[in-house]
Amino acid sequence: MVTSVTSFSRTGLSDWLIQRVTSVILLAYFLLIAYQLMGSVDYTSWTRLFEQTWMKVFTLMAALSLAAHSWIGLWSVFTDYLTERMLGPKGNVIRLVSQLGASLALVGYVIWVVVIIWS
Amino acid sequence: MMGGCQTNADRRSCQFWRVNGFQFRPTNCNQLSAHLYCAPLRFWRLPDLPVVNETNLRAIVRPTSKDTRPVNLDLGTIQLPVTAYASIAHRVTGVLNFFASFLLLWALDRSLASEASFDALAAVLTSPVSKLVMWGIASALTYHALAGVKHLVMDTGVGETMRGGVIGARIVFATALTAAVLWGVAIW
Amino acid sequence: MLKVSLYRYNPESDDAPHMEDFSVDTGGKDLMVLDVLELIKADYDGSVTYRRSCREGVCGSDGLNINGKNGLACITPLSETVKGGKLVIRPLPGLPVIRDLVVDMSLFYAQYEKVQPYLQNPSPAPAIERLQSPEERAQLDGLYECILCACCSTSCPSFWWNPDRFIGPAGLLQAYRFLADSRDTATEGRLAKLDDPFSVFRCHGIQNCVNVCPKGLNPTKAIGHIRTMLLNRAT
Repeated sequence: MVTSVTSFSRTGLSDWLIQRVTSVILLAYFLLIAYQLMGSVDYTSWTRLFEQTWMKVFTLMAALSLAAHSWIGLWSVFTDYLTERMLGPKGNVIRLVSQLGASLALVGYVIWVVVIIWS
Repeated sequence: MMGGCQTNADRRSCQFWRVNGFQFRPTNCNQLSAHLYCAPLRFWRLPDLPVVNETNLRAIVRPTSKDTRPVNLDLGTIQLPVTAYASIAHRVTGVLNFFASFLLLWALDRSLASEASFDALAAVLTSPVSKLVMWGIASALTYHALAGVKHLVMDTGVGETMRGGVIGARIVFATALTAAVLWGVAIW
Repeated sequence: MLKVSLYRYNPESDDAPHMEDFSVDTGGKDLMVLDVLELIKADYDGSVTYRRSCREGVCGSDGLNINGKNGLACITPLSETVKGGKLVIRPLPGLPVIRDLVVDMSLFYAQYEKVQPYLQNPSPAPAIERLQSPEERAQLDGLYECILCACCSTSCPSFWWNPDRFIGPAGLLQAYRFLADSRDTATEGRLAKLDDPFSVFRCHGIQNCVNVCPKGLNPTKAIGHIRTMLLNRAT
């Protein structure tokens, strides 16, 4: 058992499962958005869509999925390339700083979405 | 270097190590089947070996500054199958999408803030540069989604053979390329 | 004449590895890559160093990176790998080079050892053998044949970046070989040791392992089975 404290859910299986579930949510959301953008979009119809409760919930779900999905994905990227093995002793510092930056950005994304759809 | 039962814990739990109550080590064994063949042939008493666990494994194998031996990892010399390129592209587009999300959220914010900002956004999106960016984001997103679907399909056990993987990767590349062209047509 | 380019590194005299070219007369025959190495060692430079033993793809000693693709030199014919009259032989990627084409396999074996590749069953062994039905025995086909040549693990990018934390395709194939064995009773303990973000889940289905396995085995499929077992165990 390899321990890891910076992965999203600490266990490999839940990270893997969360990656799959969030991918399906994101896929459904982007298909919906793409379908909406196919037709002619004007301000009234666009805002009317985002005023509905189900769309607000769906958007929030997509934002949370985006955060979890990106965290898991970027974490594997960081732990592949930004490591002591690849970069020497400074690898750990670079990885933790990148991890922190990405995490803050993702939290920021979620808060931003909440602000956008509930204001 | 032996691959098989080396630690005391291993030997305790391996039935082939116990012969007449003594613990023996067959030679040249690195597989269970090998134990069957050579266990009765040659034995010697095995001195206590350290148990390999996660902590000392990393101490054993972590490169230190003292290990100056070269490693052959010149990626330009290594031939990769199409499945590997599909995986690399999945990763690259994933990282791109992380940054693209910022622009997408900004666009969502502008589009919903007010009618004036909606119109301003629509005006910005007609410039050649933003069209190129839009096309890039849409194509990267589409590729990442398609490669993700391939992952989901493979998770169900479909296409795990080399042939299946190659076909899957080719379908993903072909579909993503077609989608990129269609996005181009739609945007320009 | 075949142009052969060999990866050379002598720890006693070289600071860095270099490629050395040889022109080898194959006599127009479709030799195995190992035969070419033996010719070079006999006729050109006796100091060329590589591992070999059985020369028939059973012992797994001569895993090498041949024209960019890992394989066993003894069962790779020139006609299969040489295009444009050039043969480039490098050591297996990702492991420290001891000398020329010989790599230090400690990491690879340590990962193999982690999966406890031996039958675990505390019940007293029967007088003759633990019986399996033909169906149960068939579960082990495509798993037990592994010869631990390391071609798969050293072709795997996930293993290149994290060889100390990702078990790698060879180790995982053997992990599943014992998970799938009807006579083994340690399934729960084995699975518990694998459920972390590195040991199994660093596999991203790249399939380089399947592409190179000289025995035609499929670690990607075995890893998929392990994931399914982990999923069934947890849900």
